[in-house]
Amino acid sequence: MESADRLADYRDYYRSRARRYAANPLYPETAAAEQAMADAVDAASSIEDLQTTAIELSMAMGHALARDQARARAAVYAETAETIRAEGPAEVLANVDSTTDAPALASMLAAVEQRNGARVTIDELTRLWTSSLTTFENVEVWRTAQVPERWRAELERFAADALAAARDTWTQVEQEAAQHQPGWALDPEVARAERHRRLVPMTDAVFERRLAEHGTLIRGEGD
Amino acid sequence: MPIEASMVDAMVGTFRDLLTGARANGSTGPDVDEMAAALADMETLATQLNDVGEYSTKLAGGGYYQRFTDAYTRVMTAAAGGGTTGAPATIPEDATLLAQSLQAYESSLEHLRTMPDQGEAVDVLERLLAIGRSGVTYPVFLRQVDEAGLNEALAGTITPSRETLLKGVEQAHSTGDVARESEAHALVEMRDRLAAASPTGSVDPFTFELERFRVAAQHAPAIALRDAIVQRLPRLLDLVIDWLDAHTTWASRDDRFAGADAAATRHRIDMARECNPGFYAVRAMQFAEAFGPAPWWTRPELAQERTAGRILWTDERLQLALDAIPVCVPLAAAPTELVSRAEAFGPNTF
Repeated sequence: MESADRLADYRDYYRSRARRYAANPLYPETAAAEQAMADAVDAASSIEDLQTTAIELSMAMGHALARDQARARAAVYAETAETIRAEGPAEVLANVDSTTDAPALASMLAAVEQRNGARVTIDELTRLWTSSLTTFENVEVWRTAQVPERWRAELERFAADALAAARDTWTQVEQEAAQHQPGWALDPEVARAERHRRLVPMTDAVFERRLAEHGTLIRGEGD
Repeated sequence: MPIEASMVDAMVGTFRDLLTGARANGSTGPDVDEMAAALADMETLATQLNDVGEYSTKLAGGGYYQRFTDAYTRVMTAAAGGGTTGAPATIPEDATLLAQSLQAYESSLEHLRTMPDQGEAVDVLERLLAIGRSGVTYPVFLRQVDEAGLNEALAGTITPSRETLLKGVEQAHSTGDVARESEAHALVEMRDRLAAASPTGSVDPFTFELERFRVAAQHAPAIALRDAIVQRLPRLLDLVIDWLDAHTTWASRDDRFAGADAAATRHRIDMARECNPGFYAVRAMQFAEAFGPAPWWTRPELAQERTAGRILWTDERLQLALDAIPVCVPLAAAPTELVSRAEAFGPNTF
């Protein structure tokens, strides 16, 4: 095939790519980098000429795509108050310029994703405290309901058994968490963070009472 | 005791295959050695641990996968340049690039055909291969694939089709879960919006995943609220109905109160008669405190759950419970008139 025809085919290809990215507002830098590549192909006089600039421009496209995607993620995570997830794109944006070739860029992106995934896993363990909510409500019923005195001892047994089971479950959560982060313990401040709080559909007063109960009844605070 | 061999095979088998494949293709050098060393460390770790969960966590979190994958990426990059690892990359001929691409897609197609529910991906690959085999050059192949949206469609095997999302709407609707149905509708609308904005009508997978995350975050509170309410409504209703029924002559023949023997059954009936009003008062207070002062029986979720068949009490039984609420107060016995109405239902009926 003639070199000129081959170059023309590449021109069409890169113009097509540039059009696609230009149509998606999520990729402003990538669209510009794709356009720069399309312009370079337009300007090239031969395939050999193109090859001298292609690798550098390809790397610029990779960097631009990584930055666009990180910024898009950062925006959504900011909007949804996902502060832990937001650490991933922040790390990508801080490191992307220092990667000098495609394998290094791919490695950096994979490493950030892996580290961020681990942080999110640990963070989401916090949500498991809410699996005790039913137990707290049951215990409150058994301990505070107005009932004839003859039932008190039996109801207290129900409460003690339910709490023992909930403590066992929480011990398993802590053991699982320790595999990801030795010494992990529930931080009530993290439980109050919006990303977790919005999933507990209760008034603030009830939320705080139940969270405090998790400390005293499950984690043994104040023993 | 080390991790069972079959589990290790399942978790590191892919890496063994990748290393074998790289060597079979003639790759050598420090990056191939690094792949082998990372794999050897994974195998050693399996002999040092005895818990599969811990092994899996350490493989993913301890950088083993990353180390192997980084080296493998360098090996593949070098191989694509036509040399062994460490050799400077050169740009191969278009015909070679096209042949390599088609070979990779053919292998994927062969694999996908052995898997269930991969019709969509198979269709995309067949269209892609048809373009590649039509006699076009490599750049024309790339452009036609791009313009046909096949790159997105291929990645779109992780982007659900509109039909799949519509099935999600139907599923949520059939369960009467209005919160999840609303989320499912939002996903369809979001996909339609992205497709409409795309020149090719295909959906960018990254954009879709990001928007899906946003939709999930927006709907999660409503879903959590609905789940919390529907979990508590049956308890409130059952406490009142069980209280009345525990006063009937047929209570001992009803499965709700059945114990291991007659004494145990009597014990349960007595507890429901004497304790349920006290229990109900606390639960009603908990419900109001958590979800607001509107009476629980006026919540739309009650009607939705009954329509969906998850609360089976009949209209008559529900009305009897509502009539009993004002008198279901701690330490009270059920009024004769209400017990007479309950008596008419008989044991093990709704």
